[in-house]
Amino acid sequence: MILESMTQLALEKISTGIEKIVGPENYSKAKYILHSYAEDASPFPGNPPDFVVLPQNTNEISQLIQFAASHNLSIIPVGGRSGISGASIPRTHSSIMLDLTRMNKIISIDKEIMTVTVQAGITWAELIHKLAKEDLTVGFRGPYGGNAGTVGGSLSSNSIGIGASAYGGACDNVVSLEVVLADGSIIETGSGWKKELPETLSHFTRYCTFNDLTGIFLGDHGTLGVKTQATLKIYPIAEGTAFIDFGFTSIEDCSKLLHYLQVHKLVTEAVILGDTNSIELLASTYHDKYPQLTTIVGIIIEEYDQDIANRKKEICEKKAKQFNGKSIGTFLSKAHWLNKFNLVQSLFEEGFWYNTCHLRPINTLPNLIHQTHELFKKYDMKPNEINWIISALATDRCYCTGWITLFLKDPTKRPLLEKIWHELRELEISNNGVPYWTGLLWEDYVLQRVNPAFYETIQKIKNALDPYHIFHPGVFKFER
Amino acid sequence: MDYPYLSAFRSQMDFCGKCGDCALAVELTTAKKHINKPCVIKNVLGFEAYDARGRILILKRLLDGTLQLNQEIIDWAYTCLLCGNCQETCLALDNGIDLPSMMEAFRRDLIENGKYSPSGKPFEILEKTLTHHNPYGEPHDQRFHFILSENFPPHADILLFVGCTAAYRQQNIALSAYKILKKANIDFTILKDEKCCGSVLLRYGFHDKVKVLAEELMEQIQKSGIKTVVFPCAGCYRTFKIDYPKLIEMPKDIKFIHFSEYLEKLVKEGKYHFRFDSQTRISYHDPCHLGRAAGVFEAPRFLINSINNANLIELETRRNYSHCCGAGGGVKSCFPEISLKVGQNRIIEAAQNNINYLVSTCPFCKTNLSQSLNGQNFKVLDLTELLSQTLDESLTGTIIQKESSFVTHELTQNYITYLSQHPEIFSDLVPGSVLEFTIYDSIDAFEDEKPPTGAFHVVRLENEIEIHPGLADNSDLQLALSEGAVRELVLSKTKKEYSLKFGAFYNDPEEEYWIDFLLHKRTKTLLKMGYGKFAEEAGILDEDEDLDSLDDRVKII
Repeated sequence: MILESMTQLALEKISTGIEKIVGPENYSKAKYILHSYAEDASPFPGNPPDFVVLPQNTNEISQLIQFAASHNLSIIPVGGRSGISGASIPRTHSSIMLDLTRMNKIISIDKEIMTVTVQAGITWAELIHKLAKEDLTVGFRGPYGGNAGTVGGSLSSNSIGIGASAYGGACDNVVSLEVVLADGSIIETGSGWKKELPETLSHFTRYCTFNDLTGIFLGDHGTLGVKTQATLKIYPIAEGTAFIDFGFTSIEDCSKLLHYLQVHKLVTEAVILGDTNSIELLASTYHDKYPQLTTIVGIIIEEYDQDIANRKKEICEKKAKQFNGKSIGTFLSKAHWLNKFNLVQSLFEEGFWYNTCHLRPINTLPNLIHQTHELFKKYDMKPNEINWIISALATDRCYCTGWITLFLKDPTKRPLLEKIWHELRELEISNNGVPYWTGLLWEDYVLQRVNPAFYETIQKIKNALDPYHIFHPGVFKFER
Repeated sequence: MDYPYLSAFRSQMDFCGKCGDCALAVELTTAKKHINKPCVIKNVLGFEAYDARGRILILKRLLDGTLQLNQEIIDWAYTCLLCGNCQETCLALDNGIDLPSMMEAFRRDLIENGKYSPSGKPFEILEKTLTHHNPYGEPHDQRFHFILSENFPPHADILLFVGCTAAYRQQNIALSAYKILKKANIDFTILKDEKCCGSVLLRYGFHDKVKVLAEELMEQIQKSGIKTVVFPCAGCYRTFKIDYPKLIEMPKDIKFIHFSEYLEKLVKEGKYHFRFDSQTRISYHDPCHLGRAAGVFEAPRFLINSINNANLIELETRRNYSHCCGAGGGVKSCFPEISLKVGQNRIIEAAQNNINYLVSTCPFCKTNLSQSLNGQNFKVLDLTELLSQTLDESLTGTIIQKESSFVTHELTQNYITYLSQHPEIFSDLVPGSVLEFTIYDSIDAFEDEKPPTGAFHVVRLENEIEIHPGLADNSDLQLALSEGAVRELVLSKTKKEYSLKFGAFYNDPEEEYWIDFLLHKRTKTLLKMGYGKFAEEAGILDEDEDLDSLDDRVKII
């Protein structure tokens, strides 16, 4: 550890420098505090940073970056660290972790253009809570860990979650970003490119004038700069809502319905429980009453008017029947939509979670589920106290998430679980899947398969924007 | 160093999914629970190390040797308020991950290994308590000097257990409790040799010492032939009710109840009349010891509502998700400046309500909140003080119970009667289940959290159900129904008909006919308790054919 080999004097000099920028209460090098930042919500073993800082504004971050650069320290920007891909775990030593959760303000709500500009450290939960007081909401409502997950964290890691069926993932909803670059300079993307603009007109479109600089920083896993503000699209809170769950005896039929719903943009959200085990785990009531069901899709419709929502629900019912679906109630759809960020936590008692979240075309979902069952059969999951849930969420247009998660109850079975977990990821990525977030979860699988020309291009971007690799070194295995 | 007490929690730590809800959850995204950033210490200090997720990570790393104990960590151990809000918010297990017990166990390991916190406070307070029988180090023979001029009978059925804080620091609470009991001619006494219950020592980790205190106190109480012990202090109450049974065998013939619970009964008997001369806005702060720990939420609210001209304005975080005042868990004595910052945040929360009084039912809460007022123009009072000052000396025998409308409402009575004739509706619930029924005149009233027009709760016992008027202290879920829905439900001739209507009102709500739920426990826990089957029987899960036939039936009605 480089810092441990430093003289006390050098260490004190760094501490004093950081303290001058953020004040004594907003940074720490206490070991126990550093260790509390060593992990995220993934199962990967952690690695504490050397300093943790709670910056309060963009200017402080700019100063910290310049300070880090001049002292050969790296910068790891993090949000609520509720991600489950290991994306925020430090890979190298001599790092300053920027915990942005104190930068949690709504800067402005523009009801003319229908955008909200927020500091990057605001959680999705708080954003939704505050917008609701203005009868407004965001399209993408946040990842499942959105109580702690921040807007900045989601934009850095391409997160997918609630509202994605109609509105796409987190990054699909961005109009503009404020980013602090490796030399400490601050840029605003989209229509924020002008040197001077009236504040009210600075962030109204993403695509204009130049190429899309916003997109460069989305999904960068904190490797290209520190996102300090984001402008997102907003919508009025829907007046009309409708919920309905359909049960199926085949994943093929269920997938056909999902595809139809997405092609015709009928729903706000459509979420699948993909096998009997998953139904038993998350919706046991349905399992008891309808043991023959192998798949359930929960549908949520939000519309300006209740009659429109009701009519769409009727269309969904009619179509579901054509695909052999049966209307069974509203338990799953209501639990999914109303519990929002409190849906998955009750699964924790099954043991720690090992996820394989990724994206895939809807029509490839049945095959994946069948192959997954073959894999599970091979490894005798239940007798080995390894449980699982298979779910999927229709996303953007006609693709979906593949959420297959393993739960380990008995820690002594971890080697077996690691083996299954690895094979499952191989299966998914080899069969039309792509990760949305990468992190330690997917990085090796991705880098084995990346087109060299593609990788060389993003490597060039990295070296151009962050020539000394200050930001989150080690991620994507970029080389200077 | 070994951590035998902490090690007992090692497997529970693995259930933490590191989601971060324990620090950052807010109301709208958690099924409308009244949560807002539950960890008040994290809210003040900012770093991850102070919330449950960070604390569990640190404790795990201490246990596996990745992190070595040092003075900073010993200090950190005493920064947790043990308020339990993180545990209440946590959905990983039926009752949440028990971080307060983990921190207490860690402190116990530290204490038993002679690891002193830098402030030395825990050992200083231990010495004071063992020497002077109170944590303040005040002379024991002066404990009741302010009240001993009153004549207390040598024997009585009721014992007022005053507690150290009310005896030495908040004497007006003790005097108010005395005045209120005297007003109704209650035959009560005090223990003239009352000693500290050991609450604060338990929180520090001195379990063995407290066991001795508990045995001595219980012997003293048993000898005096007392039948009911009444506590104006939430901390003492929690210690007797929750902690002592884990340390010693408790007598089965003595009841331990909080002053607010005891008074609720007397008010319902018509023994008091409370009145403000003009409209007065009051918010109630749930003490952690009384609310989250002991499950008493309704009695204080009932009493505030019973004061004529009092308007109870609920705080943003309340009941089981109430923010801690900042005084608990030994933090007030070890880190008073942190306690005040936490208290100031709670005061800011209360100030949003534009109130005249912030009322609590714990002398320790009152102390810290009063000290945190920072010039706000409302007063902090204990409930005993509020009731004492609104006690109408000129009137007796008139019961002012605003909540009584919950049961006098004819429709509510009809529904209660109907359900009492159909107890089989609740046959799938496990004994001990508590289901709250609330009836509203509009969906807006429900969503805006206006008072229901009717409320009662059903308690599932082993072989029967009990229906109680009013809201429940700690229900599993709140069932909300429109008046129209209830009117139709009570006309049902058969259970099948009831189920069909119930399912339709839930699945296809209309302006006049709707049913909704607010879950007070996590979904998985409720399913284990039989609510899934209950929902199925109630018609919430239904097949197309049933739904189609139901539409016709509802139209006919």
